[in-house]
Amino acid sequence: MTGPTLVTIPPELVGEIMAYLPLNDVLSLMRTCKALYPGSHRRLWHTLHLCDRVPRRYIGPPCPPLTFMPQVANVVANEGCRQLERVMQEARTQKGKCTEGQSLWSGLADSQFGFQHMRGLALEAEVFQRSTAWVEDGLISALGHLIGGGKIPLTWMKVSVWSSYLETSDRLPGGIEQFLSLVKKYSKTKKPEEFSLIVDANFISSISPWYRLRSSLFDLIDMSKLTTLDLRLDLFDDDDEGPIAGAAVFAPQQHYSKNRRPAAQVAGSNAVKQIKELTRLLIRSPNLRSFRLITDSEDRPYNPPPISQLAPLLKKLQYAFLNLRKLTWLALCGEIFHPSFFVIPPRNVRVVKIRCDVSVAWWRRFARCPFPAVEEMLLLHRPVLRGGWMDASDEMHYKPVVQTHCIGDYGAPYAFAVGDVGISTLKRFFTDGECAPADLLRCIVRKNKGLAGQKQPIRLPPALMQNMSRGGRYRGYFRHKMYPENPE
Amino acid sequence: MGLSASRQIETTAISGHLAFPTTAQLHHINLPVFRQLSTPTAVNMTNMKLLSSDNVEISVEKDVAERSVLIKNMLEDVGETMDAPIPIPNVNEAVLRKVIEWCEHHRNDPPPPADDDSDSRKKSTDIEEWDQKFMQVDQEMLFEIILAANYLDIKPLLDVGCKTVANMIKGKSPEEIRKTFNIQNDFTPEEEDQIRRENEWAEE
Repeated sequence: MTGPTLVTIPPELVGEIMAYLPLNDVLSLMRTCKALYPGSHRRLWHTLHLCDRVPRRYIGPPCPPLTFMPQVANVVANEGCRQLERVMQEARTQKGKCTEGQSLWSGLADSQFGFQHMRGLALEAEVFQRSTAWVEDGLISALGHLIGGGKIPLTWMKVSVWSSYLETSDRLPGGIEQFLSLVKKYSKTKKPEEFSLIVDANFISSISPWYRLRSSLFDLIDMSKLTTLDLRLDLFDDDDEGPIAGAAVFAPQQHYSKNRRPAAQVAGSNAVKQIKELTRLLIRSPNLRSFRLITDSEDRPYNPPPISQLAPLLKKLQYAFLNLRKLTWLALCGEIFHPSFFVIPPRNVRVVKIRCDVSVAWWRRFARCPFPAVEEMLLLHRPVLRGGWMDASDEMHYKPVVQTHCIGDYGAPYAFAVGDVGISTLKRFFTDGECAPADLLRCIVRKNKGLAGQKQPIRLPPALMQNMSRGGRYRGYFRHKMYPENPE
Repeated sequence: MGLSASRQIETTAISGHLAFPTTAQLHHINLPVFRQLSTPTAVNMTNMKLLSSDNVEISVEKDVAERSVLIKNMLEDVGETMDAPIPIPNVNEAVLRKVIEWCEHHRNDPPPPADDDSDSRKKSTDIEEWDQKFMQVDQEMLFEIILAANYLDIKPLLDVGCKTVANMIKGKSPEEIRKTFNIQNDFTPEEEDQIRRENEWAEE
C-alpha cells in the first residue's frame, strides 16, 4: 500500500481523531500496534478526572483559559484507583525498587506510567474523603509528590473542597492538606499564564455554623493562580432558629428603630465573619477571571441587621470586588449579605448573572451603576418583605404589615420606578422576577441600542421562574402577588 | 445631493468619531468607490486556477477556493490579480477535485462559532448526511482527504474526516481495528497483555 494509512499519517492527526473517541476505544487503539501506542497513551493520561461516582455535567462558572473538558477527561473512579494502585505496586516489585517512604513513588514519573503526559487534573470533593482509595492507598499523596517535585507539568487543576467530606471538626485531614500544599509549591514556580487553578468550595475558613478550621482553605493554595472560583457560603447563625422558612417576615417589626441590634451581636454574627473572610480572599486573588457566589441556604433564614450596621465592612468588600481587574464573569445568587447591598462589578466584567433577594434600595443602586463593559446580563429578582433588615430610609417604600384571618398584607414593597439606568453597553439581557421597578424594561431598552440584535425575549419562560421560586425563603408566598400590577 | 452627503462624512471624520457612513448616506453618494462596494458578489464570482501535484490545472471559483485558509491567506498576500495557477504541491488531481467538490457544497456555510464555550467544543461524532455520503470512499482516499484538508487548512473538512475515522474505530476490539485498517500487530503476546493489564484502571 502506497497511500497514507492510520499508521503513517502524522501523529497530531491521529490525536485529532482520538479527540472524538471515548476512552475505551483509545484503549483498544493502544493495543493494536507500536506506532499507535505513544499517542493513545498520551491521550489516556492527558486529563485525569478523579471521582468516586459518575461526575455530573459541569455547570459552574466558565474556566478560562478553558481547559476543563469533562468529555475528554479520563474519569477514574475508586475502583479504577485501586487497580492503578495494584499495577503500580506490581511494577515496583518487578523493578525491585526500594519501597520506603516517599521514594516509593519517585520512580513512577520515569516509568511506563504516563504521569509526565498529564496536563489537567480534576478532583471531585468526595476524593478527599478518608475512606476512598485515593486517600487510603496514598495515590493522592503520590500525585502530590509528583506534582510538587515538578514531575507532572500540569497546566490546570480543578479542585472541589466541600466541608461535608472533610469529616473533621478542627482541621483538614492530612491527605488533602499535604496534597494542596505540594500543589502550592509547584504552583509557586509557575507564572500566572502557565498554571490556573479552578476551585469549588463551600467554605472559606469557618465552615459555618458547625465547624471552625485551623487553617483557611485559601492558605493552602497559591491564590495568585486562582482563575475560577465557585463559592457557596452559609450566612445564617446557628442560634438563628427560625421555626419555618419565611417566618421572620411576620415578626411585627413595624418601626425601623427597633431593628438596630447590639454591636456585639452583629460583630459576632456568622455573616460578618463571612464578609471579612471573603474580602481578604478577593484581595488576595488578583487573577480571578470568573466568580460565582451562592448564599442560598435551604430552609434556614438569614436575617441581616440594617445595612448601616454592616456598611463599613460592605464598603471594604466592594473595594475588594473593584480590585478584581481580570474578572470578566460574575454570578451572584441568594442574599449577598444584605438585600440592599448591590455589588458594583469591576470594570472588565462582561457577563453578570444575578439571582437575588433584593430591596427597593438595591434597585436604586443598580440604576445608578454605570457597568462599563457588561454585555450580557441575567437578572432574576425576588422581593424582600418588611423586616429586621430595614433602615430609616427603607420605611416609606414598604407597605405596613396587616394580618387578618386569611388575607394579609405581608409588608411588600409599593410599586416604584427608577427613571433611568446607567448601563448602556448591553447586547443580551434577560430578566424576570417579582420585584422590579415599573419602568425597568423601558429604561433598559431605551438606553441599550445593542439589544436590537437580541432574538430571544427579554422575559424568561415561566419554567425558569418556577425553578427559581422552589425552595428558599418565600416558598409558600412566592405565588402571591407581592405588589399591585405595574401602573403604566 | 452627493456633495452634501460627502461633506457630512467628512465632518464626521474630522470631528474625531470613527463612525462609518450609514447605508442611507451611502445611497446618496455617486462616487465610484462606493458603487464597487455595493456589488461585492461580482468580485467573488471570478475564477482562478489551482495546479495539482501531478501538474493538472483545475479551474475553481474564488470564493470556493477560499474555504481553504491557506489559499485565502495566499491570495491576500499576493493581491487580487492572480492569473497564474496556484501550485498545490502536496495534493494530486483526484484528491484536489474531491476537496473542491466538498468546498462547493459548503461554500455558503456560516463561519464556525468563535466562542470557546465548553458546549460548543463538545466533541460529537455526528456527521450530516451529505458529508457521510461524500466520505464513502476507499480508505486511501479518506486519509488523503484528511491530509489535504490539514495541509490546505480547511478545518470543517478535517473534522468530518476525523469523525469518519473515529466512527470506524468506535466499539471495535484491537483485532477488529487491525483488520479494518490493515495494521500489522507488532506486539508480542506478552507485551500486549502487559499493556492491557497496565491500563485496566482506565477502563470504564
